Amino acid sequence: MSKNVTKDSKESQVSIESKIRHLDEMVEWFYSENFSLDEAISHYEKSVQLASEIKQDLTKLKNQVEVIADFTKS
Amino acid sequence: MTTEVKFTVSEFIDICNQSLEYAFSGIIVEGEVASFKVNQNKWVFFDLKEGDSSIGCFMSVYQLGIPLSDGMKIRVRAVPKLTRWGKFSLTVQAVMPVGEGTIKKSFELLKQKLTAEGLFDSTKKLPIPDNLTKIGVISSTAAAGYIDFLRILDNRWGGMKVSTINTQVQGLAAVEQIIRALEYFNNQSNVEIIALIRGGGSADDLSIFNDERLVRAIVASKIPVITGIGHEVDESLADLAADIRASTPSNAAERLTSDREAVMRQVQIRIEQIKGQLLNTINNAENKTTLQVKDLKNQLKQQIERRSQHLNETARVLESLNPEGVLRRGYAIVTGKLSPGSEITILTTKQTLTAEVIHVQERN
Repeated sequence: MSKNVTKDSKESQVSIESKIRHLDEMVEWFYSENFSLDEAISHYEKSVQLASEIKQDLTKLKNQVEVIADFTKS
Repeated sequence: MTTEVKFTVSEFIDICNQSLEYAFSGIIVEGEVASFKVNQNKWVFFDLKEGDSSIGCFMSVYQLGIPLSDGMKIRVRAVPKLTRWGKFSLTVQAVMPVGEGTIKKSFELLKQKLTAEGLFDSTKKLPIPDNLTKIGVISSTAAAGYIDFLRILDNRWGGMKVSTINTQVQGLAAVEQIIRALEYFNNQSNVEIIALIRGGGSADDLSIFNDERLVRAIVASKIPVITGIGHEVDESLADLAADIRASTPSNAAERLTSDREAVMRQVQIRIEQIKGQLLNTINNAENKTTLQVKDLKNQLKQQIERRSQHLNETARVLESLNPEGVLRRGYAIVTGKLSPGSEITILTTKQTLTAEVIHVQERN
């Protein structure tokens, strides 16, 4: 159970980091030679969507706290 | 009739020790150190004094976590014992300094010793992994500092697994429990960092974090250790030994995590950045198009003006060639045979005259 939670936590963090990296790449595109006005609106809309997902993911992230041992009793 | 019970000497000593252990197991005694000495680098002997009273104490060097010297005020956890030679003493299990003077003296002596050994060298510090997901915490789960640590951790970031070992964080038993917890995390867990957390307290309360055994256990940890002990002004040897020293439990949580609000702000800044860039590009394109249209208009106007001017000039030339124009300037057009007696026609701007040639003379 806790292993699964750990895996999920790791994956969700990786997912957020990966989304942030993707957003960075999308931002870079706007300053790159590949920029074209025809595609810019679509890129912008995708970036806004991605930013919204990142914010939602960040809000949902919760920590799992577990007291695994009590050394005051022994 | 009273039953007389006979013992051998050793039996009597044993029964005394059993009774003492039953009645006074793990007692705490405070007093001043006198006649301190270490034998064979293994055994520690000293007297604990208070006024005219004095009691002998014995312990192993390993259990002595602080430097002792005569005159220091200490608190010991001990078991009273009658030795085979009939001498009564305390077998000491743990020692902690008591009172500001002793605590300070003990701190300075041990700091000097451990610094000389290189235990606090910056080269010994372990790096803290990025993007932590598994944190081990050693603290008292009832302590306000622990609650603060978790609260700040939750406020700032999520998705982490926090494994806590509950220990005492003050008193004579705390050092052993914390060392055990450090060993547990190192041997039986996969945490990426260990946070040693304790809120503020008196110098006596915090003195356990100046214990030599604890300092050595922190340095020996293969997992990085962060300390968040007491307040900003409190500095312990555990802090010096740790891979990172945070000033408070809350600060420890801050040092271990990114701030999700800050990340959200950064994400929003990126969006604003590309929005600005996009609008700027559109404005530039719009301005360029406007300039091009303006340029086209100017070109067209100039072409029309050039052609109009040319047309006017042509019209003027044509006008100058018009015979009517010549007549309007007062000239006349004569037609007919130019010989005396011949009839000719003279055309002016307003009249047509018929005349006879009287004389013809060639001009030179």
